[in-house]
Amino acid sequence: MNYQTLPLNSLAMVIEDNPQLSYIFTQSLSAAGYSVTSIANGQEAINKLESIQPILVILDIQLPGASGCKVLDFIRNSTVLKYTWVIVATSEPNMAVTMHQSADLVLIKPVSYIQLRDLAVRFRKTVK
Amino acid sequence: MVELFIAILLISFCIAIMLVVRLYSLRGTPGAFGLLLSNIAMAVWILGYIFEMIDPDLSQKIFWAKLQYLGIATLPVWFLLFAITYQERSAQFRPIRLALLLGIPVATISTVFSNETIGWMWPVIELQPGWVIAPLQITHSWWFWLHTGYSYLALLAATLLLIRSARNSPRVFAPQSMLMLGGMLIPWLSNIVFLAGIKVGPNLDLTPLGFTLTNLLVVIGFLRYRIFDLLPVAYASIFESMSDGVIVVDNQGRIVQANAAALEIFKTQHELGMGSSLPQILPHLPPPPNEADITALPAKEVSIGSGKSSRTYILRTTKLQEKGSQVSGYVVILTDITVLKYAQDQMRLQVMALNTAGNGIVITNHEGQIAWVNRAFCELTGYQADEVIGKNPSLLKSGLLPTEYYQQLWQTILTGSTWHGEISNRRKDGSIYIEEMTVTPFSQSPGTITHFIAIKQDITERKRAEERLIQAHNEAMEANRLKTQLLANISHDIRSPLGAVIGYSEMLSAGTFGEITPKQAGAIDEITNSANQLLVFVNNLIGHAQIETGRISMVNRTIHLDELTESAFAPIKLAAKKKGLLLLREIRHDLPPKLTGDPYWIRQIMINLLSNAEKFTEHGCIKLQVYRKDAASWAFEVIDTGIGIAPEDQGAIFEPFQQANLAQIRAIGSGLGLSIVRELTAQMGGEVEIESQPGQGSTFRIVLPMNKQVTE
Repeated sequence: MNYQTLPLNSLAMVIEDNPQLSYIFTQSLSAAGYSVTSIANGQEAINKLESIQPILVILDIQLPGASGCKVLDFIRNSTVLKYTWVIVATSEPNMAVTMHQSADLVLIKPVSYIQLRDLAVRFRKTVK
Repeated sequence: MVELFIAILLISFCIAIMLVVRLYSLRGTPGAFGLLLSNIAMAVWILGYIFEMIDPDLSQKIFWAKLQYLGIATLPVWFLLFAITYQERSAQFRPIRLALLLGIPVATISTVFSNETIGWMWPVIELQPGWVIAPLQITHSWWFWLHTGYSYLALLAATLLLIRSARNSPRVFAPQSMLMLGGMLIPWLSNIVFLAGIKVGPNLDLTPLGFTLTNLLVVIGFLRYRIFDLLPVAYASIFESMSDGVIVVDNQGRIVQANAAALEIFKTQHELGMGSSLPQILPHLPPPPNEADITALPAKEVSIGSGKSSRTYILRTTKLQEKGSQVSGYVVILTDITVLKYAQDQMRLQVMALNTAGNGIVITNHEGQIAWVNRAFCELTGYQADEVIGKNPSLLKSGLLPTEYYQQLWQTILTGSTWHGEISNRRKDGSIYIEEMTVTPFSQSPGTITHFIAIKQDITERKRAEERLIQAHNEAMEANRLKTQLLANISHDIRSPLGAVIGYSEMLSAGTFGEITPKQAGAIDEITNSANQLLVFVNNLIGHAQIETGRISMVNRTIHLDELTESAFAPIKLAAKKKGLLLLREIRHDLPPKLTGDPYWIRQIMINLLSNAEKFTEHGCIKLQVYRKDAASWAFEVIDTGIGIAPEDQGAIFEPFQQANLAQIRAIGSGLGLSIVRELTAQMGGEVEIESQPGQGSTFRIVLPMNKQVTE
């Protein structure tokens, strides 16, 4: 399957402070056909989320500025972001237990490049 | 005047006759016979005197005067007889002694009746001039004075005997003795009147009246306290009914009398016949004392009888000896102290046991005063027994415990319950110690609590050891917590770079950075595989830490078996490929469409089982199959064709850091895998089953319940 053929009209946001992982996630989503904005600071993400209005967010929990939990709360309480799909990527398996109530999907780090790409593609198809 | 005197004399006569009648019935009582005779003598004297006065004829008067002397001469002797027998407490009086005493009175009577011939008594006898009714006017010769002297001597002797008797007699006899002594003084008063030359009327003699009074007082004293009537009976009765054995022996050791108890004591031993020798029967008998001033010998403990019938007695010997006279015999008293001695022995034993007990024991009375303490108490507290007896146990209070604590203690024991607890107390030297104490109320009379017994044990050392243990435990817990924290931090810190390694390798493989050669692709596979193995290890480490601290949390979500099993194979794919192992995956259709559980930890179990299978399998295949076990459970199993595990090793492999038959194992492993599998399965409410034989491969089966609600 050639993922590059997918339309590029879908916005995604990667909120991750680790530059390597942020790059991998960005590459993974780009490969899935998304237009990706990557942000390394929780507060900065909150500031930009409503203007960008991504349909998919990859969210780290341990973030500078504001924690991933705060960011997720912000998204869930925002009316303009009510269709945004949030994948939480955490390195703490116990965190998955607390997050999976409000997150659409919780992935335990390390998140596979291929797995994330395939998930993103599957989600694009669902949205269509 | 004379008529009045005669009337008084008549009354005196009547009194004497009455006393004679009364005393006759008591004649067997010691002293009574003497009194009886003295009253007869008195009556004779008074009667004679009355007729002497009223008879007008001189020769008749002389006859009556002579007749009087039957009484006058003998009366002092009868008094003396009374005094002697009364004092000796004996009704018997040896006739020879009586005969000796009566010598002079008999001579006097003879002299009186032969006065006309020899004239030793009355040389001149005349009628009193001027008086019709009057006694004779008489002059006295030497025999009269001899008789009078003898009479007063006898009276003096009688008086002295009574004084001595009064002094020696027990208190109950004192009033009797005093009354009798008072009576005996009257003749002496009459004598004083006579010597003073006081004359009443026609030379009337007041002596009979005085003696009548004497007789009366003595008899009243005698009758009023008729103890001598009772005493012989009482003594005999006491003697016979005494529970102590009493044996009277003479000074030769011959048995004179033994009471019933004494006969009973020796019944099984010997015949206790009268006249038999006591030292032969009772060899323990101490030799009679030689010292005159010792009346009682020191008590001695003796055993009589043998074996089970042996009994223990206290033997007391008392001398029978009148003051100043020879020892006439002994009274031997045997008091049975067998039961007492047994009780004493028992008590001594109990006190000894309590005293040697390792625990401190305190007995307190109902008022809270210490009644008894044992040696261990003294050692524990530093106090001596006499320093605490009578004091309140609160003197041990350390002041470290609240008042309510003590109130609760008292409330418990005053309601009859046992109190048990720990108390910190202060020793005499001020140091603090902790004791474990049990206080039990008890009673010497039913229904009421009379005492409390407290048993104390010094637990200061134990408490310190406990504190040290708790501290050590806390330190260990803290160290463990830090270890867990460290493991969690390490695994987190490793995960991020590992994520980058895996991510970049995947990107390389996927051609993100351009086309790669087959060799490069092989290298990338190696990198990915190593990273995946490292990841399994890191996940096991954090899983182990979380299980150990109980901090693991499980979610209950829909499991996508296809994805889950696919990703579980990822870490072993490359290694299996290199060994040429066949990897098989089977998901049966009998499973429910929506299976739930914690996908992360189920995957971790699968990865561990598959990694293990890969490590111990060189040829053949590894199969993962998932199926429905029964209505309420599902299962997955990993089957390999590897080296297998001996049944005896199958239990041990689940322990952390254990591997079966280590010598055979070439492969490396953390040893954590199976222990985590077991723990995680248990957390999920499932079970691990193992089927294996050496050389036959192994099957690990995880059975999980299906009844959980989906929370996603």
